[in-house]
Amino acid sequence: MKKTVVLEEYAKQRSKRIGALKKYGITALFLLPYLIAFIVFFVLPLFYGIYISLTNFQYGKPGVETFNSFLWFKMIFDKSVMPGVFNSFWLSFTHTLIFSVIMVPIAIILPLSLAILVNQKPPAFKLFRALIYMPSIVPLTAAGTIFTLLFMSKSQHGVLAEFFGIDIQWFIDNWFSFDLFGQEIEIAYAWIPIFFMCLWGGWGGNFIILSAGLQNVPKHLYEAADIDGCSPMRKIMNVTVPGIKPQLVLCLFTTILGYLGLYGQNYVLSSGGPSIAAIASMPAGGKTSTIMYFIQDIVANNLTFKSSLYGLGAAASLVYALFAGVISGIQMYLTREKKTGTKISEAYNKWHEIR
Amino acid sequence: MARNKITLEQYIGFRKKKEFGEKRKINVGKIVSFTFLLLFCIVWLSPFIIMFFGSLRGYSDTMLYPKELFYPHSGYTLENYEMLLLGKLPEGIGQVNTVQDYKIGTWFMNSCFSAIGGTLLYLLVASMAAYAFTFIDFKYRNVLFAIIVASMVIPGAATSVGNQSMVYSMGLNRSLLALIIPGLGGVYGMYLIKTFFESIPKDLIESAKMDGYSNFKIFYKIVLPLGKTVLFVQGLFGFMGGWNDLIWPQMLYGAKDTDLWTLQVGMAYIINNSKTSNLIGSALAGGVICLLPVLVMYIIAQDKIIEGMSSSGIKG
Repeated sequence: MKKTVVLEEYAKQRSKRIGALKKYGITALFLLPYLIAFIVFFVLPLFYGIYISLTNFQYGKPGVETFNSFLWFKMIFDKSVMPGVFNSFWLSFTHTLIFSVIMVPIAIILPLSLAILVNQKPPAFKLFRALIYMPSIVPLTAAGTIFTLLFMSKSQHGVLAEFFGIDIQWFIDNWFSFDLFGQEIEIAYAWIPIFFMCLWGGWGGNFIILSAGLQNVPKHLYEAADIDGCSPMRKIMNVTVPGIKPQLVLCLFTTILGYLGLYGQNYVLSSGGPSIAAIASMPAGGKTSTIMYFIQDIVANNLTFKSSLYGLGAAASLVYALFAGVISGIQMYLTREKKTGTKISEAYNKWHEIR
Repeated sequence: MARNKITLEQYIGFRKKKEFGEKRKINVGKIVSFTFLLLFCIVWLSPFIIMFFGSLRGYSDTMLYPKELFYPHSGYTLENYEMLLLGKLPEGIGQVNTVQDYKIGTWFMNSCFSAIGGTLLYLLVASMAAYAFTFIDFKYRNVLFAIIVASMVIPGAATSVGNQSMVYSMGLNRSLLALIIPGLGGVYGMYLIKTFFESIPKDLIESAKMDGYSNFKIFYKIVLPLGKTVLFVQGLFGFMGGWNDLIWPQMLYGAKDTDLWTLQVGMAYIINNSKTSNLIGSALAGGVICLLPVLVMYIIAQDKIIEGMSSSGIKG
């Protein structure tokens, strides 16, 4: 009698244990591949990057580095340590900010107005929507070839030079310079091809998101505005814009982040140049360098910098990441309510009712 | 009575006028937007046409008759493509590449491997994790998920330098796997798939469990088929992201390992090498090669891409 109880208990316990093992085993099987990748390629590199930025780490020779008392951060924030690096970093930073300030409003307003036009539902509006988004799928380099052809100088028969007679060495000449906090900032003509490339293919995502948002604005509000005799402009300002506020916020922040990380256009079109004589030997010592260009110059493009300044690249990327992280944090906070994928449950409910 | 009748007639006339006027007004709005959109599309799509025809133009035509954009002086030619793909240089073109050979075929295959392989693997790994986060109960599930979602605040730049050294220490810096594997920890796609899985009714999963389905069977037979929309959209964006990525392959393989370059890195090199009128044709041909897979995919799945973007707010 006693024995059977023990056996039963044992069997119960055993099945419980197996159940737990099975359950956790299954959980682990489903979750672990992702979790391992997340930890190894996201969490660890984050701390490894911080570690690299605090030591005189050399790429390809891990294990011999020593703590160097924040030298890389001092280089970025203190002019006296290494004026060249300080200047080129903050110059790239300024370039990025100025370009973002110019580009972000355009990359919101242009797609918004196009979305309003498409939302009028003219004939073939779906085709227009598809065509307008098309430039945004073009790889940077493919777009770069076109804009190189357009903006080549007269001696090389660029399209603009040939058809409109604009005789400017787009990738060499200086446009104008101005004074900012006692620092002379030279703006090169090379920013114009970059600007046009961004103008051409840099806002398709915004366009799609905004035109989806426009379809959710209740029609009766427009009718009410009509009865009240609102002008079209007023309708846009007082009905449309408040109606698509969530989408606008999302677009605004993702666009800001996108232009803060500007790199490919500059690399492909102008290679960061024309160089500035005073800091030509520094990373990103060019007139079209951006902050991402600074980092990328150290850790990827230039082998000399890669071997001598690797930690500086890590430090600069952390400074940049802090800056961008604050912005994307604000964005995530503002757009935290998200409604996606209601279709399946709706379909299921319908099916359930029929059954 | 008489006054009433007149009022009614007036009213009908007013309604008619109003309807008529409104109809006309809407038509005007549609016509204006149609014209404007048409003009805009013509201007905005012209670079595609310039690129395509420019790639079919021989180098001597580009130099001597640069104004004949769409119908080259001595006819269409494939010499730019031959130069890139077969290494057959046209006569008298001068020095082509100063430092590295063009290996378009290898680069193309590398890009395909990175984009297709990376996307498929990521979809598998991420949808499995999303399944676990949605349908399996385990301790600290919500905390873990919240931590992972919160990490989206940290931009990729913060981890990329560490990742580069990490990959080096793992000995992957000379391997194409390094293009794929670090991407597997990406949060956004997993988050998107998970939000979609949440809309799958729990009863369905519960009843399948009652019927004795195992988790794998549920995942394979119920969840994946129901979630194929989001998987498809995420797959498309993963492919485009992988195909268009320039920064990470550059960081991995730098200036030396040309055999490991992706098409983007190689194309950036080709462009920097051909900013002269005799070579720009070959760069344009490379641009066409580089654009073609993405463009074909976009034309085929254009509805899905736009719908997916508008419902989920992914940025391309």
